[in-house]
Amino acid sequence: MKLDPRLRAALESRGLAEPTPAQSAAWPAIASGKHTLLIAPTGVGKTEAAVVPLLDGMLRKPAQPIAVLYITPLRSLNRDMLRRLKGIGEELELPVAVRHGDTSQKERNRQSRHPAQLLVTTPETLQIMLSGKRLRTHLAQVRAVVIDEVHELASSERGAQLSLALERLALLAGEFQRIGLSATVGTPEEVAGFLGGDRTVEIVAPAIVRKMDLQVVSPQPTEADETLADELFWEPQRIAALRYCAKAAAGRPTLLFVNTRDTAEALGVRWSMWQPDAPIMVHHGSLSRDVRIEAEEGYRTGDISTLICTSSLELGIDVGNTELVLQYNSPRDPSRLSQRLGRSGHRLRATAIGRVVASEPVELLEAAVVARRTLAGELEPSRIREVPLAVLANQLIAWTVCDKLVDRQVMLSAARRAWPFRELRGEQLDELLALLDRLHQARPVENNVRQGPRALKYFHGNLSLIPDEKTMSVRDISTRRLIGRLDERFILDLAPGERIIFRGAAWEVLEIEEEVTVAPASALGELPRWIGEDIPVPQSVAREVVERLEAGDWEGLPLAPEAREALEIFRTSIFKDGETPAPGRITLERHERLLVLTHAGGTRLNRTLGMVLASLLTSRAGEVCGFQSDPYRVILDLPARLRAREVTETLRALRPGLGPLLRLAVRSSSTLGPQLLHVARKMGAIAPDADVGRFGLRRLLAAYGDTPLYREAVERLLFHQLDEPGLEALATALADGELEIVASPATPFGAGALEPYRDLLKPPRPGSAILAAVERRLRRTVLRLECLACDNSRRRRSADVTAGELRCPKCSGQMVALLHPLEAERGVSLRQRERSASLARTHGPRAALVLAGRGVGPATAGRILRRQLPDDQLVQAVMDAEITYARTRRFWD
Amino acid sequence: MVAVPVPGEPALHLPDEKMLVVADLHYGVEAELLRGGVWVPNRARQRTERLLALVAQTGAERLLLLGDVKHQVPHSSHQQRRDLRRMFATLGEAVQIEVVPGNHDGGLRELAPGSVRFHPVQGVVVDDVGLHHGHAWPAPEVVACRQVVAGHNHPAIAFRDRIEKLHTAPCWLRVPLLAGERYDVIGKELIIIPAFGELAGRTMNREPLAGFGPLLRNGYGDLPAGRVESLDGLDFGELRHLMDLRLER
Repeated sequence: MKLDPRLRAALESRGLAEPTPAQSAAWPAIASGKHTLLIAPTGVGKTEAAVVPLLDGMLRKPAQPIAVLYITPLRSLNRDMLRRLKGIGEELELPVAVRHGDTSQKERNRQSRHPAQLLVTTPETLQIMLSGKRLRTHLAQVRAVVIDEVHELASSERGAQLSLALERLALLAGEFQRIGLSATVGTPEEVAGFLGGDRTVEIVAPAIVRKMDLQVVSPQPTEADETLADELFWEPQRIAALRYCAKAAAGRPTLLFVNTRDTAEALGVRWSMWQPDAPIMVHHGSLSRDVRIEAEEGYRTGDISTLICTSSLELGIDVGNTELVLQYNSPRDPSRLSQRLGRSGHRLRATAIGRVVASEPVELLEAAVVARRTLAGELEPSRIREVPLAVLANQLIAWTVCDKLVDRQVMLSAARRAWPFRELRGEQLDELLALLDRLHQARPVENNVRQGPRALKYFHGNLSLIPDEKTMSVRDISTRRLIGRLDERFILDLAPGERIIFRGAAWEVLEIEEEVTVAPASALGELPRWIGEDIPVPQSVAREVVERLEAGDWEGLPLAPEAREALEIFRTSIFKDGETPAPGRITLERHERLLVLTHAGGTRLNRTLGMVLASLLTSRAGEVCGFQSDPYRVILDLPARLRAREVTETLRALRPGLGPLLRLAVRSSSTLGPQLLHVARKMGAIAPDADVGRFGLRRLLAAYGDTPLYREAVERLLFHQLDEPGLEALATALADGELEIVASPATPFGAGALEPYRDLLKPPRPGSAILAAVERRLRRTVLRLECLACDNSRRRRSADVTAGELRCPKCSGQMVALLHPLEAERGVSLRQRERSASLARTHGPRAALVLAGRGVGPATAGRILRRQLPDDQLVQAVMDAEITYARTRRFWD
Repeated sequence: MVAVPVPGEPALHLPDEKMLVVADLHYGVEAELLRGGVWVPNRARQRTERLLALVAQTGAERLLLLGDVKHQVPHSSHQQRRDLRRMFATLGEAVQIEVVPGNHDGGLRELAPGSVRFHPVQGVVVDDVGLHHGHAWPAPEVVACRQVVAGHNHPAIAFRDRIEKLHTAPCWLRVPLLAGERYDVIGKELIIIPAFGELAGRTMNREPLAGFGPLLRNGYGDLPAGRVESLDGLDFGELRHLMDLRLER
């Protein structure tokens, strides 16, 4: 492509004269004005691939600012982008600026007066810009929009919001060119659809093969590790992994990725305890911005040689000098590993070097399968939810705030051009508008929609659709510095005096007021916990893991020799003990009071299966059945009267068409509350500053039970955390006999599921809390023991009525009546007393328990006792009799 | 022995007097929540219909609203006024409405039609049952009744199931009355009615025990010996044995 000479000179002076293959591939499409999706690995000059032809166009055909919007998902990416583009822009007299949450008011005002030609921003800041009077006139000039990391945005609610904002922008500015920059994805068409909506998008995916050196290792603990394990309070296997990481990272810039913030903290603190001078830092989303920037700067300058990080560094800052990427434990999803590995050898043509470190056998095999799929480019399809109502509500309100009056038909047709809303129906829109009317957020008037009285406040409090995690700042008292933020849910369980691990160090909590004050401590404490970090394992990965485990097939897996050996040993141990799991098989293993069901379903499907099974078993037993799940197993905490047989029967009875049952099960799941809170906030039911704490999640669930908010929360949960189509397929496979159910003795594979819950597995007593309370009350009830022979009477608590007590101490008579104090007071006929005494003779102390029931006379007691029920059901029967009595009473005793 | 709970409902029946007693309806609570930024669906109509059904079911001719008929004080929203007007109109056709005012009922008299009978805040005696709302000292003749009835506290019981999940349910609370300086004669027990409003509910069996009216605050009742009973009529036993009700591990 022939560039404008000024542009070519500017590029040449920066050593960018030769276009990279990605740039050569993308430039013609972009220069021709087509909507373009460029798919290429990280580090191949994607930014310039998009920006250079746009700058060229501006030089050829002068434009009014703002000509180009460059949208990225992260502020840190924006800062990076500005660094890269600013110089060229200045040279060409095409000013480049950044505008996002961190931009000062002064700079914003300046930008409103003198807008840049190329503005780098975030989706949320675009929301605000669409509401500014002066900015709107500048936005009306937009010719092209570049969306960076479009694959990340596509599958999120932020992306759905952006897709609508772009349609609103198109109404304002007329059609503009759309350019998406994406990492390698499983389904490019889906991402292209997201980018263009109903417009045709050209997909440019040059075959750029990045050389990858990727291996899965499993360091075996040595004697030294055993010793160190005692000092650092960690398992020797993990110490071995830590030692491996430290050795591999020595002397070269390394990113050590972990899956959760907890793990980042745990790893960081051990490393520092073990090597106090190691140049390492922890980096994750709960740390304050200052601390994160300090870590990033330190890494860039080389003061810090290893960053222990979560997905916080998957995107964002230029870590171009990274030579090695370590992944601790399975990366779970090939797209994740691909993205993380892309951070290494960021410069063109360098080989990306990655090592995945895992010790637990299933984790290890999963890591190997994910690594193989990453190398082979077998990525999962993008999941884009259709018609997310909370997002639509958010944009309808924002729309009325920005435009004051919006034609309903324009609203509908514009929304339907956006990919996630292409199936939006007119009635759906009207129903939502009716709800927003009730919520005082929008006012439909004839064919138009105006803003509602609560809309303005809503708009400014809900620019972002990223779920609010309520957090509190943490301040280190020794330095008076803010060191990060802790999740509200963690703080609710925290008391002053307790120790926590945070930012890779141990702290003692001094005070919890508006912020959490801590002081450095030397001992270990409890790890902070954060929610929403569970990266799901896809079903395809889980199936391959189980397939390979069954067959003992490690062929084609990038395993180090010691890792292969560890897998062999593990596999032999399963074969020795019981039934091997297989893709077409569900095995049931009894582990004390728990039943472990193995099934290669992946994270979402197994959670769905667990939820439905637990709900069915609960109604079967009349008592709560608990469950937990992981990608390979479902743990069922069965009520006492249920066995594996009932579970098998319940499984066999599953038939397709489980949607309604699943929705019912979701209603009682504990994850629904936070979902509902998020939806209620984003749909405008709950104001941004409302104190919901006092009202409580429980009452919120009750109050919203029959509203569209509730249905949206359920559907959102179903899409993001569960797998309804997978459940249907499973039910079909069961019905067709393609999935066998086999009972098995306990195996190490099944036992692996229990590992995280070891501490929680002390057995509770059977029976519900109500039963327990009633039983206690029955046992405490004082009865009158009356000898029918000599009239001697005594008072005993029903619990103390032993067989010996049923004989008269005075005359040794064996006819002793047991009388409830209320009846004794009212006087009991001889006939009644005889029946009571005969019950006591026949049934012994159990008769005392039953006769202690309120309104349970000898006749009712006899009927109950003759049924010979086990103890827990006996109490239940007394309880039922008491309720019958209460229903028919004419007075309150 | 004239007051009986209506099975399954937070309502008390005085069959001899053909009277139904309910407490804590809190019409207007939705408007107040909205002022605090939380919108919830307005259930005023359903609340009135539930009351109407209970009146029909029990064949009551008198309906005593035992305080906190309305919610918002001192502010009064359009919604609250409208919901109260509708309630009085609908129920007034079926039954004689009487009110013992509660702490939320300032200005209620102005909103009610003339046919509604208002009793003093200190309570009323109906067939040897003493009835008052519970936020203020009751009159001596009210306390002297064998059964003294109050609302105000919205009693509910919380318990954990076998997987540690917390459940709450409204309940009756029957507290033995104790003698004291203020009253010459004191009745047998204080019966606290569960709230009729859906959004109310205060768990009784979790620390700290708080928010009680003057009788219980000043030692005229043996609260720990109070008996908790479910709406079904199931006796849970004494409150002191129910603190943080859960399964022992």
